[in-house]
Amino acid sequence: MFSKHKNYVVLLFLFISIALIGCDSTPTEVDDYDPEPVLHAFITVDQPFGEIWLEKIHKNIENYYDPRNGGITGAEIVIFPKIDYTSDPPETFDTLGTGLAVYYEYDRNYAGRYIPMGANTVKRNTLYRIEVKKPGDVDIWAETTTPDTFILTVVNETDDDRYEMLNTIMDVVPDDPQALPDSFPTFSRNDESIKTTWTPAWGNVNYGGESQGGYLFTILALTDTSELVPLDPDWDPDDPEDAIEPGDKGRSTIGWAPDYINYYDIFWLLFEWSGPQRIDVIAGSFEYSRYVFTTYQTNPTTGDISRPESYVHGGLGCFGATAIHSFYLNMEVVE
Amino acid sequence: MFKQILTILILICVMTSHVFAKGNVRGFVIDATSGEPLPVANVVVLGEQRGSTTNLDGFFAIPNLETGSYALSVSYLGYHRAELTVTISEGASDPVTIELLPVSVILEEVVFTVKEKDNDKARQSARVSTIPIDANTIRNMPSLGAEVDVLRAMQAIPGVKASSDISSALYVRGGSSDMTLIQMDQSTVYNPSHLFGIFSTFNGDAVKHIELMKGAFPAEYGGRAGSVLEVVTNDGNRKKMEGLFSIGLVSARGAIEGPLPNKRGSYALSGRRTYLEPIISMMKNASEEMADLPDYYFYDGNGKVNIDIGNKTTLTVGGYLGQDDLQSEFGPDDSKFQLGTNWGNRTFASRLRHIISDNGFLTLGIAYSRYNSGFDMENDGVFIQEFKNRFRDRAFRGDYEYLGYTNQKIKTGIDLHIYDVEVLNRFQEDTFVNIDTTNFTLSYYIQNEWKINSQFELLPGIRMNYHEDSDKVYVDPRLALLYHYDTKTRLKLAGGRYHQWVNIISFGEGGSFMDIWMPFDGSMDPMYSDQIVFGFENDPREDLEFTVEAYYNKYHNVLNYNNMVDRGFDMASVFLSGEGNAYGFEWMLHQKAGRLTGWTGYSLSWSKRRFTDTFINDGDWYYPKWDRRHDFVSVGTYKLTKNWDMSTSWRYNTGQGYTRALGLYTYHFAHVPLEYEPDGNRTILNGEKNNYRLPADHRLDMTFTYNHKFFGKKAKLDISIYNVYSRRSIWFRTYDTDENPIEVNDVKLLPVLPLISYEVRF
Repeated sequence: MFSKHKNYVVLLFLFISIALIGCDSTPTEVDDYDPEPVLHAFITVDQPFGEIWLEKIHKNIENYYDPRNGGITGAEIVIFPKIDYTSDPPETFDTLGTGLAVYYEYDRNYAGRYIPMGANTVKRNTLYRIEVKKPGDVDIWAETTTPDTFILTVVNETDDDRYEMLNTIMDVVPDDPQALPDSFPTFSRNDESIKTTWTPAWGNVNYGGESQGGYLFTILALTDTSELVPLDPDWDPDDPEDAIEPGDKGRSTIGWAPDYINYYDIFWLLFEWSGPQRIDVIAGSFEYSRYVFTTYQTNPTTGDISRPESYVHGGLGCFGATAIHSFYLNMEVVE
Repeated sequence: MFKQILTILILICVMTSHVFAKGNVRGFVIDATSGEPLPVANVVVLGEQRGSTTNLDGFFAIPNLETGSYALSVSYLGYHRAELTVTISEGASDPVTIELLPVSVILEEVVFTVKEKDNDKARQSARVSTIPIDANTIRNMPSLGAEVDVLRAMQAIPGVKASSDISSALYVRGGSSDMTLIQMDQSTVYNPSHLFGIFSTFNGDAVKHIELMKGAFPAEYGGRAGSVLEVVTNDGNRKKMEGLFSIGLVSARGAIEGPLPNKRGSYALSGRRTYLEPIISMMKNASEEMADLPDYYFYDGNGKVNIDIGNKTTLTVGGYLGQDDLQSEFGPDDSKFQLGTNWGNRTFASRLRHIISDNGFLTLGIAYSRYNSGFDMENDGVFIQEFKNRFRDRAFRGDYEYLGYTNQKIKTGIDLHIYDVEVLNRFQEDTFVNIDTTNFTLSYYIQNEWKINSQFELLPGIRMNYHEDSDKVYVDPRLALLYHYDTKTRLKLAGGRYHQWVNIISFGEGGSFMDIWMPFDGSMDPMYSDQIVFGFENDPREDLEFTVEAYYNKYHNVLNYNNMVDRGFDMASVFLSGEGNAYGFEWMLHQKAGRLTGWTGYSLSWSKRRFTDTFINDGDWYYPKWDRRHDFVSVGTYKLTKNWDMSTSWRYNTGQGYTRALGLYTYHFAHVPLEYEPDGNRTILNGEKNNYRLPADHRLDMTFTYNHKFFGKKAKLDISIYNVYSRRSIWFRTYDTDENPIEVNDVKLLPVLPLISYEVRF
């Protein structure tokens, strides 16, 4: 049977294949995605409540993006501590009352930014909840637990006075710029790296989660942008690619350690600029640590992680808590 | 468990060794010019409808023949058919040696006649989805870098895909690259690629025969859930010493082979090495921008010695050694980072083949396969990071074939693999990943090729696997059925279960030096697949084969690296477990001999994955990167004149999937003051994973070969043109969020590339 018509059968398969390939068109990139709200709200222990940003996803990536165009205005925002976080049913703003709450007002100069009303400071070891309501939109809420403060130490293995000075500065002026000494110890890229260690920010407290958070490290140059001098000897001030922009001043995150680690070496190569620097060691709540970690893990090319881990219900983003310990030093260029 | 397996094995050997036979013909089929055994050759008793195929050692046996004279017809792809008369006497016979002459050898005085054109039944077994390819076909195919490349040749078969033009990893019928078992002389090879996957580790000069089983393979193979690539290397010329030397733009290679001094065996050695260093050095000196180019080279070598111990026993000892080395330095002049990267394979295998009794064939083998990869980074001599993957596979294998039944060929054996792996990722004093484990898998299999009658053949089998860490036995049943519709048309049905014991943790495309090989450690359920294949085969002419196959594969416990964890100390902590499936249909028209050889084929397929309750595509189904809906390929070699050959390869396939951005937003971090990032950080919100397609790929490659004499020695000049009409396929798509509006950039692969190589045989 087949032998009689073998040529026709082969040709038939060939034509069917060509026809199928002809239908192989690239899909039109049309989707019915409904942009989601994105909330970013952070609180730092012993500090006043900070700003909050609320925007909607900018859908048309081919168009110019201005976050203010997507800023959500007119929302009612409140942050309050939960007294009994294990209660059933869970405590809400309505059941707790307003005594400890911090309300936010809309910043009319910047669409999507909200500023706290009042000067309450953030408590340590406390579960906080944020609630965002806007008529016609889905309610947004999230919770996070603040860490405790912690003690940071620079390990001085070389018996060098400069490393000891770093500890002195930390003890005297943990956060108050007014109390800073006139000069900081000076280092260069040729020096031994800074070895840091710290006491746990969570102690033995366990809020029910398996992990309580992590530690992040940042370096911020304190020189004005117009006066920045890079440490890189290859830097060419006349090269447009080497032009300095405002965003170049800070290295957002140089390192990361989970909650059970209490040491980290800061390499001098991570410093970009000469002049005074502030190094922050930040204990982040679980929600904050996961958000930062997974934001860096998100790779638009592979699409493995479509979005960072967000514990914001009704939207994206992060409601996170931190405790910060800083120290200061001066960097000089090596010829 | 081990005792039970051993008892069954001994029992089968004893039973099969005492079957009475009238008379038999047995022996080896070899290459007439080199004396090398020819695997999968067809031996047919003319007029008796009896026959057999040679095994990988070139051995065959046809039992239970009445005494008398018989005409044997012996054929093998790429060789002239041979006919000879044998006389069968009662009882055991001495092994015969049948020599076949390669088609490329022109001896006008020798005339080979073919009396029956439809005597290929014996060659047609119940195996499905099996593509045998001889080394000459691969050597003639166009290839990147004018390098003969086995894995790239496999990628030109319908149903086999590459993740990109520069990747040598094989994605067969919707399976990931680690689902293909790659064996070289029955020794497993891990990560068979050089130069980030651009070249495969198999030196084409060292290869004799290749067989790709795309799915539903028989019980004698195991340990992988997808497919099998069996590579048989040259045994070496048993009659005279010969060799070759070749130089190309990228590398030089050489090979030498010949008989052992006492003519009781043979040897074969081959090797190659890149010589990119002078080119890189010139580029570094020519431009300051290229001063940071890394230093790179790779080398590899194959060696094999065959020693005949009597006329029934042969001992083979062989090995492979390959290494890539990449050294780079980057960063500011006063504080340079040094990055040293290397990866490589070493295999050693020894096999003893012995003809037992009248119709038994025993093979015992030990093998050692080592794969190392890793890098270390320092900053002016200060240690920063170390990453390494050390993978050892120590294997013992014993196979026994019994060929004494008239219509049955029983094969049984054991397969022991002891895996030893270390994975370490250390950053300064902090260890992120530290896995150090040793375990073993012991498998026993038995299968029977049973020719029920002139129309039906059955290949049932079972493979039982004991895994040490999980302390469980996993059973893999296999079955294949063949129906001869007429002398030229066959229908096939096959299926089974296939467990997998080793996996890749891949940080990019498979075949990268960053791939980590991990054995199943019992902390989660092992991966396995259930496969079913339906096939239709027809031979319109003796040298032309037309096949159509449809398949469905269901994958269980497929693994994906968990990007969300930063530390891991066993499989369960670094892998996510999911499910998958693949289905499709393929056809292939294969011209095996003549002035024009090659194939044309098409594949329509779907491949899907799902990791429920995970961050991967929010737990929904998605198409993996290697999913291609349509795949059309045409490969041909045409003998233009006595001296000139032309080879072409053209392929079309659907573009790979990519993840399209849904939108854009600004992320803020508490620890970065706003004044340092006045515009915040623009970032992409991804949509469904791989839900969109890059434009379709198609590419034409050509090679012109000029065969001639160089000072009386055979020589050939290869002129290759890669990507003739310079259609650059897109490797991946990126978003530049520093620009506003953001820029969508396509990273493209190679344009048209003329290449040249010259080879002299002596």
